[in-house]
Amino acid sequence: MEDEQIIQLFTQCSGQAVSELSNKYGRVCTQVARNILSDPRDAEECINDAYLAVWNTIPPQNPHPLLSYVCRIVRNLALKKYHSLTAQKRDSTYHIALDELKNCLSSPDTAENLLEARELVKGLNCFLGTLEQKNRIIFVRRYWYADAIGDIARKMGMTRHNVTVRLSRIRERLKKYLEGEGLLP
Amino acid sequence: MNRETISNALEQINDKYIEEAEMYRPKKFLPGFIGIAAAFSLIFLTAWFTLASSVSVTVYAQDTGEEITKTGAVLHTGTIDSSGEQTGHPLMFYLSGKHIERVRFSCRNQSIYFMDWTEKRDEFGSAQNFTVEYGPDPSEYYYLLIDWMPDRTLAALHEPGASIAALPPELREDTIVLEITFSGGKTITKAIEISLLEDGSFFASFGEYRITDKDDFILRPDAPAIPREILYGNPLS
Repeated sequence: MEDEQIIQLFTQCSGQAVSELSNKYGRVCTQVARNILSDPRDAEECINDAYLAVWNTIPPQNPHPLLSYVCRIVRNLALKKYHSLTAQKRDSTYHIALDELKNCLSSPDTAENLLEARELVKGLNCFLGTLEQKNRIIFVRRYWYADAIGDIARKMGMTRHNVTVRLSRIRERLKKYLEGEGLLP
Repeated sequence: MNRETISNALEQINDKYIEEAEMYRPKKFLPGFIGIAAAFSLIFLTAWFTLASSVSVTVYAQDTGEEITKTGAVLHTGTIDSSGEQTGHPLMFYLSGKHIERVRFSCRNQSIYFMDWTEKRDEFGSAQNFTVEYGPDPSEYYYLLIDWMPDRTLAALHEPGASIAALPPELREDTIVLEITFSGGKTITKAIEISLLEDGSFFASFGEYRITDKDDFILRPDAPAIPREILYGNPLS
């Protein structure tokens, strides 16, 4: 079913809306939640909360594209859950991926060196625009979707080694780019 | 920079990149009977072509995977506007073939940047002449990227009153000569010809090339290799 038709179902408060949304984007939502939350029950709860959020916000929202709208909600809820689980062992794919970026972009956390968040957002999106498509996809799959290296390799038709090499090079480029833009010391 | 800052920034990645990353599908072989028939045809054609094309090389644009042919085509990988702003990569390419031992690249007017994603070969930074050792494994050729960088054109367009139409020929056209040596010792010479069109897009073709006495740019010495620690700022782990 097309996104416009699914949105129409939500607008009409149709009982079919959530099932159609789940049919189309349930797999990717599950993947996003599971990459952040180790416990599948937490992930399922997160996804159900996300569907409820979509139900409550459409209308007036008329998101386009629908995929990223739903995935953002899932990701936000999963991250909230993740941060609230203080006792949770920090071994999720998300945590490991975030550490890769943190190590690459490390700088003393002094008041002078703290990067304005909005500047980093702008810099990051501009940087992604400079990347070749495959590299950009690999970056987004690793650091937004929090996919494991093996999953990315399979999706892209590459070897794990090639994916890790590319990620390493992309991180280096990101650091150079942010330094060049004056966004990193 | 802490995890929270990075996480918050990642959260606001543009929608189009999120969708692109989910919708991407690598190219697959044809399924079913069409695939079987195609496979048998491919076997016969491959056997026939192997003899004829053991020294053939094709060039593909990175990102789109579009073959750059003798006929040529407008590239869809990058543009330049009259104010000197570049989007994407006008020409980033890789070679495909077999038994390529080495390729010497010579760029007439601009510069080229070689990147080896396998991290096995020397790199040279932004240069005009260099030789790349390709090696016996054709599957690695895909990861040997050459990025053509029209920096002189961009600089000229940053001048007040500049426009693409007013640029001299050497800033609107370029030639990248490839002197290709195969493992059996045979050599061929080919070239990519690039033209900047008035709308800021690029036209490129790939075909045979004959070096003449006027091609002084080919006689320039090769650029020296630059260690990766210098090129990329961090020692490789």
